Amino acid sequence: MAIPEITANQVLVAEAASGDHVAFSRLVATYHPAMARVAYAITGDRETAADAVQIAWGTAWRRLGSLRDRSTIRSWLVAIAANEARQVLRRQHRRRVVEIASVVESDGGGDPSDRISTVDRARVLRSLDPDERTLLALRFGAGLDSSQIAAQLGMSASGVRSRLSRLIDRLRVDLGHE
Amino acid sequence: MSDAMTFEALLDDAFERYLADAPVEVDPAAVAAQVASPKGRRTLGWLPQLSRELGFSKRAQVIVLIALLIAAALAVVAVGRFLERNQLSLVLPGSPSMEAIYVRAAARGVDIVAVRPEGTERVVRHLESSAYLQGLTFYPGGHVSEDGWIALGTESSPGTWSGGGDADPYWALLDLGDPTRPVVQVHTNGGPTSAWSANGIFASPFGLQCCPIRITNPRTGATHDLSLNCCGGGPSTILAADGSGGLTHFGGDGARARYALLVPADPPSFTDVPAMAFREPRFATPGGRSLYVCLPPSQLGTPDCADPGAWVYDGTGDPIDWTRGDLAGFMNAGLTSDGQALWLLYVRSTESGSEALLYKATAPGLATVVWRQTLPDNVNWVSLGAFALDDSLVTVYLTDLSLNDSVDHGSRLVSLRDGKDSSPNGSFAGYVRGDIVESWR
Repeated sequence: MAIPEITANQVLVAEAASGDHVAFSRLVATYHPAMARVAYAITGDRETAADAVQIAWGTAWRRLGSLRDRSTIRSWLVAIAANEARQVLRRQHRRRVVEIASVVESDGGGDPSDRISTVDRARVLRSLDPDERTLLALRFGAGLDSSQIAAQLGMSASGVRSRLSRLIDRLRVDLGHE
Repeated sequence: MSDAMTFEALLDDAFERYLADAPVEVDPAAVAAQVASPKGRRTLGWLPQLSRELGFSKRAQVIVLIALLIAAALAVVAVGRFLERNQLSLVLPGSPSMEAIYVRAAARGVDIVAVRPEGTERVVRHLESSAYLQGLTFYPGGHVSEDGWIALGTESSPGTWSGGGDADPYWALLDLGDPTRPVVQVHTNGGPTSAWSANGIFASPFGLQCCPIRITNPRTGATHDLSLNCCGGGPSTILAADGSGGLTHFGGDGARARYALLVPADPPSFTDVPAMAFREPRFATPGGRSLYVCLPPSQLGTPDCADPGAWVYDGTGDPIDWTRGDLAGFMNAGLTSDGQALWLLYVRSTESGSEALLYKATAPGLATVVWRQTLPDNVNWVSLGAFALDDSLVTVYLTDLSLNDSVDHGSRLVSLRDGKDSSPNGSFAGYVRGDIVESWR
């Protein structure tokens, strides 16, 4: 039987799981940007996203020892960030409606007909619920494939593909790219 | 196809530009130091859990509720029967039934009494205080573990255990299977809020501040202290202690408490244990499902409960509505051990008085009565006690709350399989498998 290759990254995860702060800080340095991007894609607000990621790191620290397949550390951390961002968004929705940041900026250059404008992007994202934003964030923000998303969200890969396909079809209509 | 790929590429590009503003800057060492500190762990551990319980989108609730109601309508009989079978399948065919253990005051000590589901009972141990204790006597109350250890309170004179009269009270842990073993003493703060885990590890609060919990393995004598951050509330019940954490409810007024899963700040030394055992009104299951009941202020609800209802959180923290609004007469709720169904306890008025009704809800909006009991005139409050791990038995407490101070009117031991009940005397201590009880004789 082949012995699975243990990467340096997996060793790092194991060290962090055993309580090594230095190893954990290296994980933070490596994966924080991906987690922040996903949290920002879901919340649309820098401050809220930063809060969510901070909570996510606390969750990760406590649960790191339960991560069975250490090669999935990136998608695991990103999923935690997505979940915390979703929860933060839900809490805020309970108190008030949170607007996705609609940054008035120039997209700068390119053929406007080929690109999705900032205004359209913000408008469409506002129309999505947290679960839909999570799917898009994991797919486009973190670059996870359907299988990785499925593993983290407890869905089937075909289910993820199906939901993403319907979501993308809807976005295509909403953004006038039919 | 190419058009679809083009649009996905556009989305990718749009996201890339949008995410340029994401807060990716971080001081890794500071994050690591914060989450690893005791303060950081506490803050990041239970606050998000509580926040989750109190905040989620209305829209998501409605969508989930509608979807579940449609599913329930399409498969009422099939789903109900499936869930029923699934829940009961926890008990293997031919496995011995559970028996309830009660502690009764007796001459020079206490009697340990085992009660079968149909109500027959026998004394399985008589424990004389002088045989185990010096200058103290057993208090007739405690907790029994799955494998037959019992924790009994001790007191220097009658009333000091329940009244807090002893300066340094302790639990006495005894092996009911081998009463010749010496007693194991566990210091505590004198409260009844202690519990056994599924693998026979005992947890008890021993301080007065911020409820530190002492975990004891009576077989080895090993102890480990956990600092559970429940300052201001104190754990009124520790439901599990297996080394991975304590599950407790705190705050509220005791009868209607807020619930939280508390994660210990210090990893304990023994973690190779089976799934956590949950007792008392079971509000969480090993799969991560948890139950939250929000009652209006008129029913002793918590002040921040503005949206009465009962719902279950799945393992990822997403809420599933079970019942909403119709909580008149609602008393208590608990999850089945597999987390797939709910027990709901109500008191409803009848032409001649009032009755207690225990429902099993196998899907949102789908419930059947498993126990019905006319209540004595002086009982107006009922509450769920402990469930047996196989969901075969539950203890229901009867109380008179019409006076300024509540009056205990004993308990009923209810068989959840046939709805029959009995009223054993003594203090309920827990459940033990029948074959283990037999081995004590």
